[in-house]
Amino acid sequence: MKKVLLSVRDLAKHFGGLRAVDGVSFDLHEREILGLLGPNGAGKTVCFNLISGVYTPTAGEIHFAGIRSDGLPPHRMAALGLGRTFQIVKPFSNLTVLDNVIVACGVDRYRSLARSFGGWTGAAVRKKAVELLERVGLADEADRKAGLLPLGHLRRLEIARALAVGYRLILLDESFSGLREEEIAPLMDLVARIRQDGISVLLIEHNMRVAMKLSDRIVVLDHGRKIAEGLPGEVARDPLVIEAYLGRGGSSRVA
Amino acid sequence: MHLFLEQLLNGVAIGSIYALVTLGLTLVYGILRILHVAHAAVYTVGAYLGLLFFKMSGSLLVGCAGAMAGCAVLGIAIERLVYFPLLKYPPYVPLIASIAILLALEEVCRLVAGPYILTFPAELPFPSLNLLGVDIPSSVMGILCITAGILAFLWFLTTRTETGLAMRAVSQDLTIADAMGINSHAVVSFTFAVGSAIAAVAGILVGIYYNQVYSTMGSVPAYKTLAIIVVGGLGSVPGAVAASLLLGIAETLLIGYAHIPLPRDALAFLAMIAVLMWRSEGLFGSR
Repeated sequence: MKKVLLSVRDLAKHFGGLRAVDGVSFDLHEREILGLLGPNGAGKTVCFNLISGVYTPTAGEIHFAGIRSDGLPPHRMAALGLGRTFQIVKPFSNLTVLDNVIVACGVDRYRSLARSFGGWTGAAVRKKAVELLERVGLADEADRKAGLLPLGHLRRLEIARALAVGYRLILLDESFSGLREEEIAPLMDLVARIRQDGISVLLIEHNMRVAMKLSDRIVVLDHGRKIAEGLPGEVARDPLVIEAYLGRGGSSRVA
Repeated sequence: MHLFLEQLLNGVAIGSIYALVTLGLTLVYGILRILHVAHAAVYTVGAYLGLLFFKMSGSLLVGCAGAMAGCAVLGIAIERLVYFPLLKYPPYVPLIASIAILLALEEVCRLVAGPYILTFPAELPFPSLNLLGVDIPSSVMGILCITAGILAFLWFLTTRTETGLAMRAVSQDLTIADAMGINSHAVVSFTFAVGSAIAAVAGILVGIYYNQVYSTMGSVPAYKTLAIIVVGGLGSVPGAVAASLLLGIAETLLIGYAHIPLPRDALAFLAMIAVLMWRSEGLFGSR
């Protein structure tokens, strides 16, 4: 049995009367790619924000890397080795591509002001950042201002930043949306390689083909509740899932 | 000619002091997008604290260090207790709170120290200089050297250290910076501490230069520095420094040397109106 890296138990987040996430539980194992699927408004991004510390849950528990992590602020989660991307890409647009990654390489040092003040950007940090850019195929863009990159490159930059932080787990929030067909395949290869390097991936994805192909297992949410969990093939045939996506009486295929 | 050069130097000295006060305002605006009007009160408190510690210890260095530490704490307190809880509201809410803090701190100074103009009987430990027949008094030398030192420190901090990189990241997006492992709130507090400590230095320099410390000494700087950061470009540190120096020189030369019959404090606002009409992003701002 594989080790559990992230465990979510009866997680709930209510905004006033809206139950955005309502009693969701799932496990993510080490070296696993877990897909988090569901129609718009199902609570996927809220789940991400709960796991990464942006929100404090209304109820439930999150355990990450062996410690109870719900309620920890985002920078503490980052220090535990959790990196994430954002659905709407948000680079530090005035910084260069390289500096964007260097910022994310500082987790260990940000913990103490004195250390981050004393040790200005050393050669080792720079080297790590350049390696990350090579890994996502952005090495040639290192000195450009991040705000000038096209969307496909920005998605890669977000992944590079997430990798700089997340040595255990990265959360990818619709990293494939808005990309051209020829950009999708190389990015899928990249995600597959990340897992081979021993990093787990939790994936929100609207592109079904991508999600089915990449994910080891899939959890499907609808209206804040988990309606299915299992292998991609099983989930795609699940009548509840088909109903959530296509409505009652939908066809037996999820496109 | 000598008179012109002396006035020019005076202008640079006054501009330097404007720059020191404006820097804190610019840093805060850059990182939180709040117009920190109460910064001028921090500067006033800095002058009082500097005078207090100077009188207690007899050493200007101790006075300066004490005032910087006190103002850093005051700045962090304002940020933690007032601005941070108000960040979720529209920008005029923290602005009104800031005006309230300015008035309250001025009153506190008046109540504690009395409604008198106190003197600041200290000499800056810098030599006076006679350069090509132009006399540079030690107070002007001191202001120029100290300002240059602080600017060099800030430049180094923001462009050459990881703390500076973290500050730049936080000023662009607090949430994302947090997700990258930066404790954004700590960075914000640090920024307030730096800006407030610099304001303390400015307060002491003004106190010594004019030999006056009084509770409303921050009133004119409170709105003049706002005009300066608009002229320089909101949030731009080089813009704020350039605009401050230009204003100091313009005030001294146009009114002190060329005797143009305008109130001295009007210039900053004429400049602001001109900038808003023709170049609303400011001298160094970007759209």
